[in-house]
Amino acid sequence: MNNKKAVAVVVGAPSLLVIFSVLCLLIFSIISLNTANAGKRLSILSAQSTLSYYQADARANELLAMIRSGNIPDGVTERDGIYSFSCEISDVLDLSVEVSVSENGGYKILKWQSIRSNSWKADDSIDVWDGES
Amino acid sequence: MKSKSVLIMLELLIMIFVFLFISAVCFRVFVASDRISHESSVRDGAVILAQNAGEILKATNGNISAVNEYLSKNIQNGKYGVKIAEIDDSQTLLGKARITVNYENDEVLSLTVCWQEVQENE
Repeated sequence: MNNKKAVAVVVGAPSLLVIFSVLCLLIFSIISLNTANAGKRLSILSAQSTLSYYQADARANELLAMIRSGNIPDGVTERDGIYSFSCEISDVLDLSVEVSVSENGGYKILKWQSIRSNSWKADDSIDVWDGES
Repeated sequence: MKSKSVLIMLELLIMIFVFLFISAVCFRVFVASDRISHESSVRDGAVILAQNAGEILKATNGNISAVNEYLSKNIQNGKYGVKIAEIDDSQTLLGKARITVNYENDEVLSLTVCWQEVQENE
């Protein structure tokens, strides 16, 4: 009597297993690299916008110090004792400043605000329903 | 039967080599991702530190000890370093300082902050 049990080994099973594992590894590694790169782009943009803001802020402070000293620099407008000027932060943002300055050099900041330098234009390229039939 | 065993062994060997090769490539990609994420995280931390230091300087009219007090409470891992160098550009009524943030002795970020000096008769 022959009691030997035949072990069923399928040719190609290791290949299928490896292909599945490798595909999973590749997909996860590509997703992780993409996420890291997106985070890097965001981080660089955030750092650049912060640096640009502080450059504009420093320039605005320089102009304010000049106004307090009695020198009115170019680009500064005065109306009813209120001085207005703006400093560029980026292509689309300006730092808009309004200050009232007293004769002894004291000052009161009325406005120190980042505003859009170009007017906002609605995207009306798609014909959407306006709520009226 | 023997030829089938050889075939299976051959397939196993080839697949192990393929798996090892692609695993090594993927491992490198994961390491690169981790490095990029770490750099971004360091940059974000440096921006927040520089911004906070700058705002404290502006709010306290250039009181560097107030900034140092804030930093001593908020830099906990000891890897960040913040240097504040006052700049004297002889413009009246204006204070100016350069804030430099380092991470493990490498410069990450540097920004200039200005504030208004207060006159005595104000």
